[in-house]
Amino acid sequence: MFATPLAFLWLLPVLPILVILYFVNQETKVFEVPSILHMLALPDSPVPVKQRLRYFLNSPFFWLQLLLIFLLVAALAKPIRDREVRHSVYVIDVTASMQATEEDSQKSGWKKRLSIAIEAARERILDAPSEERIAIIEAGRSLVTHPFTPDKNELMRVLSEIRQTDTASSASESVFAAANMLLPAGGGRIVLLTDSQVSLPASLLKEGLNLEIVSVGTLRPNAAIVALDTPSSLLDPGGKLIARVRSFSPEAMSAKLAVSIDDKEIANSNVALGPMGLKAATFDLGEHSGIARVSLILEDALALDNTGYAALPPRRPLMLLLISARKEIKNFLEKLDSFDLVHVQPDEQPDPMLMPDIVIVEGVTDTFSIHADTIYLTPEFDSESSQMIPDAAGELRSWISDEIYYWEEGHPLIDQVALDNLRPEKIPFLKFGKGVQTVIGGSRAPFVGVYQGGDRKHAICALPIRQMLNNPTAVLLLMRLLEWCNPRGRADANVVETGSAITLSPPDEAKGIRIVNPTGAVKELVLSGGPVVIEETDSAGLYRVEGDGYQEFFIARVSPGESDLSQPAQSTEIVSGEEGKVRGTVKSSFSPWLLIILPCLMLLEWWMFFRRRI
Amino acid sequence: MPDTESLFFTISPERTRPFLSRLEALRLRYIRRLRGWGRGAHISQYAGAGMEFREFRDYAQGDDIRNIDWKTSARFDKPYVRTFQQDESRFSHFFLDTSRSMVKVPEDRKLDVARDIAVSLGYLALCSEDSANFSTSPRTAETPPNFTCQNRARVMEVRDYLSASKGGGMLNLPAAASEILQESRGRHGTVVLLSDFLFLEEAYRRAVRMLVSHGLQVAVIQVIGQSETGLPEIGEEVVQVSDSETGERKRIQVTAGTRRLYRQAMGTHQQRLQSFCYSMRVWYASFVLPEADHENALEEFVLRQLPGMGFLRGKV
Repeated sequence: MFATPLAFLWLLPVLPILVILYFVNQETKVFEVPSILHMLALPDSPVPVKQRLRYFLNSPFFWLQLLLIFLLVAALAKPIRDREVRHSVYVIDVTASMQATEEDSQKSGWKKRLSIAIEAARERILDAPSEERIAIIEAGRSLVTHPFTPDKNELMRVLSEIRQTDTASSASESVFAAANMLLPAGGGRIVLLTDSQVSLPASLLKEGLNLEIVSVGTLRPNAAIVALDTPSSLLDPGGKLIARVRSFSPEAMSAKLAVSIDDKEIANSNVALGPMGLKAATFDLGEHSGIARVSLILEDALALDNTGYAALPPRRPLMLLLISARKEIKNFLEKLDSFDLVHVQPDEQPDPMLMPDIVIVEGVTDTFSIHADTIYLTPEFDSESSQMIPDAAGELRSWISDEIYYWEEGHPLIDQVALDNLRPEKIPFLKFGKGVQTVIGGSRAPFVGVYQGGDRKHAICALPIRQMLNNPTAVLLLMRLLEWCNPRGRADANVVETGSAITLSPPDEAKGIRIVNPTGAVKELVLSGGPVVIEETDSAGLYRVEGDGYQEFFIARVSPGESDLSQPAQSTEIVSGEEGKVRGTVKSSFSPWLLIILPCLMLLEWWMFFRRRI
Repeated sequence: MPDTESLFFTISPERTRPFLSRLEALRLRYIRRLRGWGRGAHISQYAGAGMEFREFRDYAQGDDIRNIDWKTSARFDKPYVRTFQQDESRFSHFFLDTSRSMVKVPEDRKLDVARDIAVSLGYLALCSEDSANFSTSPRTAETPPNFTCQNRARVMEVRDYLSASKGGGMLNLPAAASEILQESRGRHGTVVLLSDFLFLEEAYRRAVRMLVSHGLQVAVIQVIGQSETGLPEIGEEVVQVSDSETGERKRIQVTAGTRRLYRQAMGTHQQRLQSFCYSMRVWYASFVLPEADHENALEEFVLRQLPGMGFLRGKV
């Protein structure tokens, strides 16, 4: 069989050229005589056609060169034949759980499961027959496939370059990929080196495939952080962190929990755990803000599940400006720690340099001034004319003027009121200039806005007391503003499994973001608006996302299935079919051999040529 | 006399001694009155200390009184002294062509026969107490340019010298003649040129003229191999023939016509060589080697043909 039989068409022009060259050539037999002195007088005889034909047909050089040309063309035609060889695919689990360490009995130390698997694969490959063609699959989140080769040096190189990942994968998926590699070759053997339980559908192993599972792990029960929480309350701006630790061991054990914020340890606590017990540890974070990390410190084979993260934003009490003559309101508000209260009589004008977050007004005095660099207001209000703009579109006005009154009327959908609409980033703002700005607080309706003074942003809500007292929605509005100014800490708020994509929503103003992964590598993305999908989450740990005035974080955690707490697989061998045909076929090319023979024939021709001349 | 049984290349050991005995009855003939040198077996034209009486002459002051012939002096009453012919030696040079054409066809044994002729004639010269010089051309770097011998007891060394040249290369006869002239150093004598003379006419003409003009007596002995008497038997195919010395090639076809043309060309070449030799008063002898029985042919050539043409003569 020839891979490219059309190459034989080369013979059509080449063979006639060779024949013509020989025919035109008048070279004849040469006889050496003592002297041609007496032959110089003889006539010069041309070689007859018959003799020329006879000459090159009897010439060994002609036939040798013909053979050379034929072999060269045959090499170009790529002769192939089917050769039966054994095929094997080594599937090496490189997922997170393979980072767990096992006791090395030979060297009295600890060795990672992945190293044990690679060593086992190396020994088997070295013991394999030299003609066996072996492929290797690195089974991580994505399957990295190294093609079939009989070159053991290449296979050793591939094994030495295998790296662990923090991701998870499906054993059946990798075995399926291996089967797809083997079936075109006619079958073969799959060697799966893993620490995970493997359950394969019966249909996966078709006729001609053998599967050998090599288990590389042992069950090592210990504890893990199973939950992290940062509760907050309206009245308590300080943060708390609650870590819940579960023991998976049938025996009692103790562990140490350590909390650090921005890599500085601030607290630790010992946790005593009963058999299979669950315990919560609470840490008071006070005024701390930053990235909190909670670590469970105990002897563990796999440390990836022993860490939790929480983002703690700065917290501050709200400044509340009360313009009212009613003392009972003032007394009530003074008792709340969440507010810094500034009380002004209705006939007084508040200090324009105050930067209140909330203004509560009484009576007709609903105009006040604040000092701000920039004021963003909802478009319902015109600060110059102190009038509402009737036709301005805006969700806030709709919500305030419609939903609240609906609620007053007992609207059944009040629970579904989209309080999120109150979030400042959702409100279409109007931007005003720098300096002391006059803001109108309406006696008929509240307004919400944001202004920036110094390096801080303030949410502002002006409420007529009449409405505040009579309308519980106003309290909800206050709570929403309080939360906006003091967002609660987020413990493991954005959690994805390693290798999974996460979608974040940076503000529209952000032109680009930087993503710092747990290894410190930085990736920058240019934003074009809208949500951002981040797919490169292969490393377990905390990812920081920063942009223009925007900071976000998310955590990539290893899959629960990748824990060292699960029972490893049992070594077994599954043979499909009766004998499990493990010998496939490959197409082997003869071209290299022909290309080796060609120079030998050329050397032979040269040798004959020079020998004849000598 | 050394062991000379293996002296010749083509004559068997048992026939060597008889051949030498018959040779000893001959000597080289000199057709010119040549001026020899030293003492030898030839009678000089000059008076000297020889054994043969030359004449009486008047006594002159200073003559050795032992040479006074007292009887004659008493008869004429005047002192006479007796003078004698001086015996002298002659210069003989034997040049042997050892080019590739001499050995190209081993069956012809051209070089061996030429060596034997040179040894035979050299032996004759040594028997005459002449100085015999031998030279070959072309030579290898190891071969001495010539070999000189004056004693026939060293005749085996002549054989060794000649056998040192295995044959090969291309002959330049004029250059070889120049070397011969340098070796003669102005002495008169005989030069024997042994070759197949398969080269252009101009070459042997220049060489012979050069030697003759310096007063040397020249003998040309042409050795022709049996294979050269006709075209090779190669069928009627067109072939290329290559000159063994020059490498020159010619495409020929062997037919009856070309055979005839070849023989004509060969005859013409020999005739022109012979005519030239006669015109220069140079001995010319042609020895066509037979297909077999080389030793009989050689003996016939040396003992009959050469004396018959006058180059050798019986001892006086």
